[in-house]
Amino acid sequence: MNIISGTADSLLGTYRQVAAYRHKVFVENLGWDLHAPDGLEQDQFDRPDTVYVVARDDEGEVCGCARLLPTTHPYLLSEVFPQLLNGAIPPNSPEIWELSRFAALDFNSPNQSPLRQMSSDIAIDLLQAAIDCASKHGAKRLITVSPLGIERLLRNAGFKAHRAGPPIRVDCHLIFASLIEVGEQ
Amino acid sequence: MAILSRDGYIRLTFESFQQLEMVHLFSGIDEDRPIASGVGANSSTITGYTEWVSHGTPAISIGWDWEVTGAQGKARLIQTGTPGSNLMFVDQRGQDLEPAQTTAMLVDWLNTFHWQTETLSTISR
Repeated sequence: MNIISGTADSLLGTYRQVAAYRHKVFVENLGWDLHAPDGLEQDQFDRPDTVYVVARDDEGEVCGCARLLPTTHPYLLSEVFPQLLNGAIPPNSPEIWELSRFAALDFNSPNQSPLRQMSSDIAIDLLQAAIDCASKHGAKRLITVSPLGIERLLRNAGFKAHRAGPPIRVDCHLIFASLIEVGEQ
Repeated sequence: MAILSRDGYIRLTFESFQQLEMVHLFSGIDEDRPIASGVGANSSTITGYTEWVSHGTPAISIGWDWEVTGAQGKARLIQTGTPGSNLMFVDQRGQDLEPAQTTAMLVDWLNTFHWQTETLSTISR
């Protein structure tokens, strides 16, 4: 497996593979109600300045992805889920980046985990790569909207993370906002 | 008094926290985890989660995992793993306790009341 990062422009053809992968994970596998025509999952936060972190298996197939956005511009939590912030104003800082659309499911693996969004090993490596990438862009903290099950993964893998507020139920899924420290993990 | 800090933590002393009422928010069974069968016809493990909050905003949020052990037809819930929360306990001078210490105190706290009753009631519906 290898992990790369960059904007959509710099990733070239890989970006389209990521959008197709996201469709497979979030729309087909998890059943999220997203507008995703032509088998590609993209939204208003997929912008020219958005940074992607992409895991590819040995055959070059995408097996994991993450999206990073600076909180100095609109982001998922600020625009769609501010209620997850427990009454706080959504952060607006070059030192806080949002991590979203995180998935680490290897569809080519014969040993698929019962977790429908990720394989633990890929997830941990991908998350660390996303943290490192965000750090290179000046982030000191990541903020995320995640399914509640991700908290268990973060804890078990030893990442320094805590909740920003209570979880809420959206379309039968429990989601919450989490803050992850960048730097020494 | 609880304070919501810029880093997302709610900071207060453990003594203040103990004065608050935490209410049940959600409980559920893990659908994504395999059910592990133990040795013996009557032994099986079901896992899940339970979420509790304080009243008002900002709300204290605490959640933890549990597993069911069922021997001889009697279900019993036990807490597993480490609770997640937005809490940082502070000492009387307002200094942060370590996250690990906060977590350990939360584990002690959740053993002081019968959360299992509410959780079992919810997942049994």
